[in-house]
Amino acid sequence: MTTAEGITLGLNLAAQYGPAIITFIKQIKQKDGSVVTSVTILAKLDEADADFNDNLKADADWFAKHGMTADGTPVKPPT
Amino acid sequence: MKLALISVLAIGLISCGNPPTGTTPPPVNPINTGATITLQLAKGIRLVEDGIRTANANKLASDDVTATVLRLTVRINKAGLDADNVLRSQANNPKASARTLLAPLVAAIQAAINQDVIKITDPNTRNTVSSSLSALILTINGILAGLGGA
Repeated sequence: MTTAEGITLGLNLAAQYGPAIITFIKQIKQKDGSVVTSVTILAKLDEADADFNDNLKADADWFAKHGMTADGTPVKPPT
Repeated sequence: MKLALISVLAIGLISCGNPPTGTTPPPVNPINTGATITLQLAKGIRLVEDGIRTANANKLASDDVTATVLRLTVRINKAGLDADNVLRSQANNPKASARTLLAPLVAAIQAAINQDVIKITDPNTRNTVSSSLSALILTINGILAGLGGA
């Protein structure tokens, strides 16, 4: 095979499979990017949830310590 | 002094809404912005609660005032958890709108202003909490407005 034949074969292969390869690479990038984004978002939401729950736990502890409830209902005496 | 910490809420949210200057801003993901808002809100509310509990422990805020403020923040904490659940369910939806998803959270804060703040008997505390929560809503709306149609 001459150099010219090799180049022609390469061009033909690129023309035949190039779009599919480019699409494949784009899909990987898109998929990878979306996964990274989702992980970032979910990590933020997890941290926010943990903080909100910590806040509510601390609130409940304060109300219990002071003989009150967070919703204003009377505290039931211990049985 | 004891409730000045509430301003941290607005400051934290304002800082997360300002893009870096001199650079091309990256593409905005509305859900990511929503998650940032709720995370900042959670940390801001914690500072408020720590502040009022410390004031109460030091006899600078009565039990009744402290309970009223904490009931108000409990409402916001629960609304924050609800908002996170909605955001989580829409994390992979490219058409999701942060404005729509966070609307219940904004409404809960507004309701806290309308229904709970009025119960705070001390005028200074009431004004501080009210103005801080109002600034919070303005800041959230400002961030959401920065997203355009999002």
